[in-house]
Amino acid sequence: MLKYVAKRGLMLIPVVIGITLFIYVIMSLAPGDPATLILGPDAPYEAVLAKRAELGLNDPVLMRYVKYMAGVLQGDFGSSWYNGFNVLTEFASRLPNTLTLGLMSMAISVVVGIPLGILAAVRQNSMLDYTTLVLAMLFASIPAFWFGLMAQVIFCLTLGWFPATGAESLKHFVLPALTLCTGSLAAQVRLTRTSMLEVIKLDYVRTARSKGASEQRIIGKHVLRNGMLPVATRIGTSLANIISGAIVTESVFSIPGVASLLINAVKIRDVPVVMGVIVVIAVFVGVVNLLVDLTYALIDPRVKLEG
Amino acid sequence: MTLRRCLAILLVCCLLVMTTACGGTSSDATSGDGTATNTDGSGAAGKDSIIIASASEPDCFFPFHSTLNTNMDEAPILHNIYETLIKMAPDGSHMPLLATKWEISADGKEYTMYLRDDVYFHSGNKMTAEDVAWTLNTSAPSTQGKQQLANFKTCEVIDENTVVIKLSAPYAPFLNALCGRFALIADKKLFDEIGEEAYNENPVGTGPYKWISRTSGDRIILESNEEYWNGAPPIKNITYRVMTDSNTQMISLENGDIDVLLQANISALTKLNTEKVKWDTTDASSICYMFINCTKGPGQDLAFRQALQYGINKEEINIGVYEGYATVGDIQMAPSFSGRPDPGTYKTIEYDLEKAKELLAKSSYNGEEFSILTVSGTRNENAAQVLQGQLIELGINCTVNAVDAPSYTNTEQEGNFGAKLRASGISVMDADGIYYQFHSSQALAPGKYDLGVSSPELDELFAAGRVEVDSAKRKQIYAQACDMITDNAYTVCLYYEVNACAYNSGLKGVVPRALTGLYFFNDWSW
Repeated sequence: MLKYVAKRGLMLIPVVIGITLFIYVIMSLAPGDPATLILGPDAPYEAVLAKRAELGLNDPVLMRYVKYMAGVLQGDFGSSWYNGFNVLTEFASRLPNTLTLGLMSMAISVVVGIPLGILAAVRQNSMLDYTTLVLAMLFASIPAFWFGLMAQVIFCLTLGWFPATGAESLKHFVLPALTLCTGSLAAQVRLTRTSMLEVIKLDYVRTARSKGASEQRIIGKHVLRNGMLPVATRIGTSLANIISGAIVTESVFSIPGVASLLINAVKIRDVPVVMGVIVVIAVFVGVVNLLVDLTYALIDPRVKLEG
Repeated sequence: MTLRRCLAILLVCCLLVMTTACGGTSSDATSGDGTATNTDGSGAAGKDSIIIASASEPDCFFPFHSTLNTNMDEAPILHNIYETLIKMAPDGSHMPLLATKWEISADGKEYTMYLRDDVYFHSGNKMTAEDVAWTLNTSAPSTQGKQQLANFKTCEVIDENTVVIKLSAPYAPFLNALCGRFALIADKKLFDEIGEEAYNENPVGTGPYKWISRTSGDRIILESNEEYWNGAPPIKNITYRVMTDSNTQMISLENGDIDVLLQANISALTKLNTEKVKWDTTDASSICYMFINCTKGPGQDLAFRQALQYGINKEEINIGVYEGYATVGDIQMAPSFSGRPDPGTYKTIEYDLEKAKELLAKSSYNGEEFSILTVSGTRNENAAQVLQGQLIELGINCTVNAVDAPSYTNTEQEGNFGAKLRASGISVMDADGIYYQFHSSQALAPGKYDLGVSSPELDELFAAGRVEVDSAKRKQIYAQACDMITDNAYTVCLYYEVNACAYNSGLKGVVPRALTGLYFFNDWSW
């Protein structure tokens, strides 16, 4: 098991190098000279040349990449080309908002989605089942920006229950979390339902029934444990997406999060910021995936992690 | 089995702890913010705090930072923390601020400034002639400073409260430049102690508001300077928020989440239907115009360019972009600029579709593609789209090439466009602004694409306008230059941009100014 963890940890290195190299090269190949962008179109040519030298843009891309990664390994993510602020501090100041939003939205989709999915599976083809499915489809198809806007109009303007924007207290996160979870909630319901239905049809469930076990016991003890395996995996993978997944929601509710930092940096080609965020996200996703795999092996005794 | 189970629980706990730990820091951080903005409330009269929102985030707080890019987004913050020697009134006249009076030598090359004696920086240091001289001597030679404080040679200390600014040649709009960001006075003593980076993170000036904190991507908090030399400002706490989405801006405005919205979207404002919000507009210092590529493609032919001049319905573009709230443009100088020739003293061109068709038929144009380069997702793109419709109707095979800002600059430098359309601001608020577009020292500088718009005659006029001190003669010179540009149809000026500002109707003193983002928060009160 330790050997497996070590191996997976080592595998993370080429993955991170691959991702960062790819992004770095793409950013460098994109049209537009960063020095001109920073100084503005009216800047004198000498100033642009000096800026290019200052940013090290005259070196080959690969060399710049190696220099950059060497800095990252020593914990130096550089500072933004545009406002000079340290990338890591900037990232750290925005991370809490993104995590709060992501976790709250995930919590809603798990707490509401799984029971609904189970109910729909147990009462298959009932009115409840159909209603749940239709609602799930509806929520999955509503675009986040529209849902967010409607939520603002209803809950902020008309009812005055929640603030429309900002990230000061947990109350501020209720509407954004609801908006963000619409899509994943629908997926959660459907996934839970499908996987429960698959298990319900299996032989061992029939055996349990013929043994005379109560329906409650069959569902709670036998079906649920096996039916939840794919659902657990999904929760794990969506956990990994938390950091990067909320661009629209963050902008509609003006939440200063990681996604908006990244998107703004991409727009203005702020390479150090883009790279810093990508590196952290890549490592985060890798680590979370590893943890998810480990958890999976432990909740399902059939899965063996071999080094 | 029990061991496995224990391990399983342990791992799940680990995951949970990891995630909640991160969540935990968030509530800590946000509660910290919460206390700082406790004074927030909404709409109520008699309060002394205010929340301002803007779509763009200010991110450079040292006015003449040596390496960072600077732009107008920072103006509202900078001009309330720092102060200039003189201040520009909404009508363009000059008022004393840190300087009580000033004298200009007869040859226009020496400005003697008499400074106030009772001004202290937020750091507690007294503001002296030393600070003023150091500020100007540092900021004026910088890349961007040079464009505003043009012809600046040096600033010398005469005594503790007097400085004399020497110019290499007269520069007519120099007083305007002294109202701008490159003349915001900083604390030399503090700068020498802490350096540029620390100063940029915790800016210190003499202004009515003190810097408290900044949360990246979210807000900046200012507090009133109770020792302000001109009396403590009525509003004590200012929260400056970044709010990018225009629908969200409107909801927050109506909801009372924000009190003032700068750079508001006019189409959204016209749909507002509430007594609680007032809004106001003014002509900005920024001009939207189309530069025609005279060295490549159909634009090489004068008749073709003239067809564009006559065939563009500017009012239609104004309605499409600004709901008709903008002023349609005729020359590349906004109405508020000093040195702008008076209406009637220069040539203008009226929309005339028939004449445009005639000119087009006369030209060598044979249906080739005419592409308008613009920046995607901006008002410029909206303008380009309306324009495209008009030109197609005229019989020109017009396409719009809307790209992101970085690609725009790149394409611009390569010259791969029939025309380029992008609004640009002139912070010095003077006719001299277009020097940077037409004078050969600028237009033909290395790295620039030659649009074919500069000529020795124009160079001469622009150089003359720059140094002419007599305002009537200056206007004449610029009228002549504008006529030359119009005759050659180098550009088509579409409209002067609009600054719109929406605010809670209980708030007094909010006036949008021509210079984008220039607001003095100490003029405001509930």
